[in-house]
Amino acid sequence: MKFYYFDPDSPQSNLVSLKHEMDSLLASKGLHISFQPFAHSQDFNRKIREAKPAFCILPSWYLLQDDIRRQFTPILKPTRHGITTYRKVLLIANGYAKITTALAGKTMAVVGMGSRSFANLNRIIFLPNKLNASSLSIITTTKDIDALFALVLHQVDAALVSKNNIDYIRKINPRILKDIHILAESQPIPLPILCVAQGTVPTAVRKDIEKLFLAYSERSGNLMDMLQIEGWQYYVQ
Amino acid sequence: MFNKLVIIILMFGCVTCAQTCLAKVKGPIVVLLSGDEEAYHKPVVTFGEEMQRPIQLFNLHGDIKNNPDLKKKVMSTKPALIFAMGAKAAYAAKLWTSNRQDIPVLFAMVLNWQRYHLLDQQNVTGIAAETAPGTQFVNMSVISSNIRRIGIVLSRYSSEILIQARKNAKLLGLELETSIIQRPRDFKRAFKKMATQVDAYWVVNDPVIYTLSNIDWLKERCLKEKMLCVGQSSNSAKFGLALTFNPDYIGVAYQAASMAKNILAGNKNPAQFGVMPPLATQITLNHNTSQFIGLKLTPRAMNMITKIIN
Repeated sequence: MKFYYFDPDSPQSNLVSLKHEMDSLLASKGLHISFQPFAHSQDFNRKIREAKPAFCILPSWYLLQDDIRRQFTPILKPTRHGITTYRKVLLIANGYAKITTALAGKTMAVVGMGSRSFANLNRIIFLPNKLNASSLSIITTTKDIDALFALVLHQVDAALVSKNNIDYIRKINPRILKDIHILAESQPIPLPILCVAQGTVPTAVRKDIEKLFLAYSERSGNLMDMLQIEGWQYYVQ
Repeated sequence: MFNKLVIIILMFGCVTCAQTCLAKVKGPIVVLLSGDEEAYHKPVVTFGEEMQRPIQLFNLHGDIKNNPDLKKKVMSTKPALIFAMGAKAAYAAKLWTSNRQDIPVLFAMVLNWQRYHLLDQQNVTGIAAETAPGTQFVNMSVISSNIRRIGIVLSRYSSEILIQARKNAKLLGLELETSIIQRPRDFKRAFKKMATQVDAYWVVNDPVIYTLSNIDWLKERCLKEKMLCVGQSSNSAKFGLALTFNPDYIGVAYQAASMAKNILAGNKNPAQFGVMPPLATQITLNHNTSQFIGLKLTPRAMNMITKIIN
């Protein structure tokens, strides 16, 4: 059985280590499930359709796709700082004066959110903050942190980045962020969701996975930091 | 009455212009490859999937002489945009559109793009093949937050890189210790002089510095000095440097697709984009070297490494 993982907002780039930790966790409970993390949406898109996994952790916006929603059922959602959502922040480098004119004709780096990326961005950040993004040039990055660094280096005019990643970098080296400030904050975005493939996974295996992850917070160590998750709870719509 | 007529004519002109523009945008995207390199394959597939519109693929197979009718074939498709991968494709696309600068050309994977004067035409834009100095420095300072001073030895051929490096270092609050040399044999003296004054050394792809003899020597010297030496390709890590930062070419394809979509939507024209640096980075750590030189990485920094080799 396979267990796929895709989260472009995660600062975790060392997928070999992530796989090792997760495979060890699964094996420790006698679960013969192979964990496969993905760095690029192109590879994840193809594999999840060609070789459907038994379980997957994927971004909430990914589940909005009709074919994915038909094939996978959310079962658990993670918590971070005690809540099941996170926020992204629209950042600019020091020097932009007015929020209303800040985006006109500018470039913004952001992790892609699938084929309906702009619609998703409109929903979570532009419309709620009454920002006119019609002339904004969106530049897609594969990692959230690359978008942040692009702004730090003035390679783009703005960046939409997970607040969690700003805190992550701040704890490593706060000097990098000295000239960045927040223009707007997104609506709460559900953290990546653990799903099970419909109709193909034995109930006993599903229950084992639920039990393993619900007890997850008791197993600390690097895996928690890698996934940036503190615990799991049942998914209730 | 006359004013009303002028307004009607202007409106008709605007509508016609908009329709013409839209008609142009409806053409296919042409992807033009310089040759059959394996390195182009995945980025091209990624680019095509991201564009979500018809793509037509053409290949120079290393030399335009291999297919002298290629220009005619490409231009007969009435392309909305040409995505050129590699130097030969970029140069060809620039030439072919010299009288058709309404067709945007976007290039990627062109080493030392400045050599080909690609930006002499307003319709050309692209993504540099080399990671910007600032991207190298910011990743360095995240991987090892103790770095404050970075050493660089380079020749006059890398003067543009030095200008950018100084600008980026200032943004990040880092200091640069630089030495400009004229001849390859001056490298060792220059490096030895700065080795005790810096926290890390950045290896620039400079034609005077980058000789086999110098790089062999540098690898040994970095170990001897227990100096963090940082390169720009993962091969350098395999060779023995502790850390390297290089572009993620799948990420470059996503970036290229974004730029192409913005150009076609009229948000920006090629001249406004200029040449962007690649935003997506891969970080490779040579574990043995890093241990030997005493590079201490926090678990968080380790989690940001893309690839660890021994």
